[in-house]
Amino acid sequence: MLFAGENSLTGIPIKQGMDDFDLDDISDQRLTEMFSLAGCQDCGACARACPSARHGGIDPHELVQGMLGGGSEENVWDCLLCYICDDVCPADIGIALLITHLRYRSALEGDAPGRFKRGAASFLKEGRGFPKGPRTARSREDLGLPEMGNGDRAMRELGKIVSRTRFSHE
Amino acid sequence: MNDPYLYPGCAIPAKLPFVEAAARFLLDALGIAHEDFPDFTCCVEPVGLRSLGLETWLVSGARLHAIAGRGGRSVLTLCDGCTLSLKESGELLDASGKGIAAPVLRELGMEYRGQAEVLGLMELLHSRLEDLKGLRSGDCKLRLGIHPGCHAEHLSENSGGASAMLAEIVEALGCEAVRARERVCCGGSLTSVNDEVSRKVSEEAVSSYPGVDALVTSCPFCFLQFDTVTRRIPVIHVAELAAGCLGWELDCLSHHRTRL
Repeated sequence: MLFAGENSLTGIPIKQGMDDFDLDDISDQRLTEMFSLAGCQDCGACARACPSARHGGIDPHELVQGMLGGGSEENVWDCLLCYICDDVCPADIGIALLITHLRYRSALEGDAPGRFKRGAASFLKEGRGFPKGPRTARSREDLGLPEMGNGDRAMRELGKIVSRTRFSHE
Repeated sequence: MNDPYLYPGCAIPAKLPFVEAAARFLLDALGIAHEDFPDFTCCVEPVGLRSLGLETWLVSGARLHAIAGRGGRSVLTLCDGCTLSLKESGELLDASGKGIAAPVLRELGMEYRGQAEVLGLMELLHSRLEDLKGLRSGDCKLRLGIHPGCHAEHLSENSGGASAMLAEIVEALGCEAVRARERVCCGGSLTSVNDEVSRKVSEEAVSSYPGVDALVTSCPFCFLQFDTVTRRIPVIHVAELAAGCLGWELDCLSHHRTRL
């Protein structure tokens, strides 16, 4: 360990949903099993902690209970992916990763927000989720930083990965 | 022991290059030898891109871990989104995702042999508190709201919390740390997605630090949200703060939209 001190960021919390990763079936039924939603204690701690729920966005408790009851109407794109729900859940349900799966399913149907589709276009073109701005090159030069740009080999390898995996950029 | 690869991410080099410059100054000041990550590509950030391509994220992560492994290096990240993305892909690959990534990596002539050690800049600074105290040139005297960002908070859930870590860094630099009573989010993930919810979440965050001169964060997305969207209170990246306290002469605050 190079830097890790007593309070290191190592030891990422492991939640339900990591030990059975499989994207071939992402139905509600399968995700309910994969994320052990039956273990939900119905305590509502996630909803009380969720900043989006407090201000009219997604309610993670309603989402989980809805899926257990046969379907949820919650808008998964209203999630901030802040992981507060994960961190307070007494059943260790990986709610953020569950919501990421539901967003992935929605994106496959073409329903991703435009902001994220623009990020995807930059990712495919430059290998970066954030594109260079009109002033980026000049600022970097003024700061004495190296030019920004991914090498040919990196872009070739990324192209291969994208062509072999499902990526909803449209 | 090999030097770490510096993994700068996408947001900082493109949108906040002064933060990258500050981080590079800090690494030199602290004597941390490093090399730039070879054949860099995006981590497939965990809020937007990963939602569009879970499989793409996992396999990209396997490639990045394999590159670090091939070089026998740890990975030093400047962005907490990258830290989360890389640590989560590593955990998932080790738990059950290795088989999904293996065929594509084989086509690239690579093999995933376990996750690389991934450490964020804030963690590095926290491990060098005594050096920061020894190297700083005077007290900076600012009263700063401690806002590490949600992903650092999540990653440090089992190790004391990112707010405590950032507060100790800020105090080592001679500033006053003001912590929020509860964990709050900058709201940036919903900018241009659900602006009404984003605005309310962000307002809740800035209201949680009464009487501060500025917020301090380790997350480039929180920085961008507070500096360019919310614009209620100035924000400083911890790399800029630490570099400035250690004698970095660049007036990085001139790059900010919301001035101190």
